Amino acid sequence: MMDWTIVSLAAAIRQGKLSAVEAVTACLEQIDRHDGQLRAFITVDAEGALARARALDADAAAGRWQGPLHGVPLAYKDLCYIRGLPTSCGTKTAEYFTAEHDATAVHRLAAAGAVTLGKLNMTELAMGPFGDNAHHGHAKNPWRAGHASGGSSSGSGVAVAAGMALGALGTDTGGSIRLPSACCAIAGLKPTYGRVSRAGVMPLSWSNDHVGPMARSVHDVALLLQVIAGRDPLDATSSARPAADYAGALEHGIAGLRVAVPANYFFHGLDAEMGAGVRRAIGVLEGLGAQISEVSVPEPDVMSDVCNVISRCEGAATHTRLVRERPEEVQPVVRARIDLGFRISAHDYLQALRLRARLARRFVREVFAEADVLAVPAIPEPAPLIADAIAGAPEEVARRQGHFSRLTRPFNGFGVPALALPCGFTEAGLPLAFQIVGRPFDEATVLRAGHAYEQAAGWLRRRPDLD
Amino acid sequence: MSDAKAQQVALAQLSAAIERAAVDLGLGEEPARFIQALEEGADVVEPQASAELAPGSRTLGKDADRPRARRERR
Repeated sequence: MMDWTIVSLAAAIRQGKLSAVEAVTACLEQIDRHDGQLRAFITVDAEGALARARALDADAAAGRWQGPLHGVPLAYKDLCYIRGLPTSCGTKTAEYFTAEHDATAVHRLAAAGAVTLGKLNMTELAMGPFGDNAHHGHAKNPWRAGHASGGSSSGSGVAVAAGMALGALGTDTGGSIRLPSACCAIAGLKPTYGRVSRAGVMPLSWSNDHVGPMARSVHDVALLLQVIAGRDPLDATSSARPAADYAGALEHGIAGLRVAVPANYFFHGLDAEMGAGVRRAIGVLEGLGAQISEVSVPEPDVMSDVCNVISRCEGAATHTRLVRERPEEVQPVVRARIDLGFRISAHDYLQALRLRARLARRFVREVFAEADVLAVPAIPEPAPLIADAIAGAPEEVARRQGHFSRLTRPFNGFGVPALALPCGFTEAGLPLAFQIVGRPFDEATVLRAGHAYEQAAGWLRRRPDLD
Repeated sequence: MSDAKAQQVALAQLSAAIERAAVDLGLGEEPARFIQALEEGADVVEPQASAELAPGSRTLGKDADRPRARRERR
């Protein structure tokens, strides 16, 4: 499974070189071998996945193809509602979240032929960037033992990087798709706010939540986005704007593409190896014909504070009952984050929402006046040791969490698409990563730039040594 | 520092940051303008235009004849 991508596996199944049952069986074997250690899954639905694969193979034999993902095994962050499977949202409670329908994004992937392997580990209530979870076990970084997987979509990052699933869904409120993608050396996209329906997905902060794809290659991410993007009557915030041909645009190169690099905030205080890796990646883009220029990003630190205020308040509102009725079930750091939300004034919350609108307009106007995409680091340093990340009093951990997500969080506020992808490894073997950020609803250009880089850089060929 | 004290400090810092940034917010500024910003900011690259880009194309270049994001009205 480590050598397949969604694109190559789907093609192999279509050509009769491999069956859906063989693909699912290989993933289940990989889960059996490694998930005891890596803790990517909360629920594995082996029987359901095999039954579905057998049905898809029968369909294929009869010439009925469900869609571009026919037989491709995927898995979903355990806050996506799927009828018949528990949805814990990383809490101690197996059925913490229920919805009236299957999550729209999951439903669309299944309708395109995907097989559901199960539900993936995550930070409790999607609060926290390291992937630790006291209830279900810490999701472990497949590249280096003892290191964080990134969060909150931790299991999504680990399962894809370790070949347990070909792709996954994550959610991103302050970086929760991009941080595990960066820590696990896979590609992960936070789409534009409104591009992908959030119906059937547990909300954390409805103003900042995004659902998006995570996979080994940018091409795979484009394929998954193609399936899940678009208006959904079950989500009033989903945009009616038609989806682009994301995969079709990938091979057109980036000659002449204008890439802005921020002069402020994003490179300050960066780990030396991370900074050098991201600069090299920008050099690769330039070598492919992109025009590089410097830009000052307006007030990313203010947007980060704005996002924090909004997310804390909305998160507290969402999870009031759990924290008030069963506080002992919630990890202290998570409880502290929710408690803070109870105490922020309505005035500050509303001012933050008003500020966000102004800051977003200014960001789009100033950054994209002379650029097509923005290239920035994704994480300030390589994935830390889990033990170090979660040590100390809740306020210390919270400070560490805020620092680790400082490069991703502003783009949740700005609402623009941001792709995280690997750009090398440290001497110790930990992934380096950067983000390509685009203008609203221009995921096609973001993915095209990411694909061009990925093809030129060659990191896609590297695999973690799981044994 | 106790948990309660740490929370007070965090709260005060966030509140001060919002207060500073919001000092000159216009009367007409409301949250829904965020969605408007995304829709207006998306005005340039049509899906088919993106897909038709040829290697070496300057369609997305500095001199491209394309609409810019609208200027903000205060």
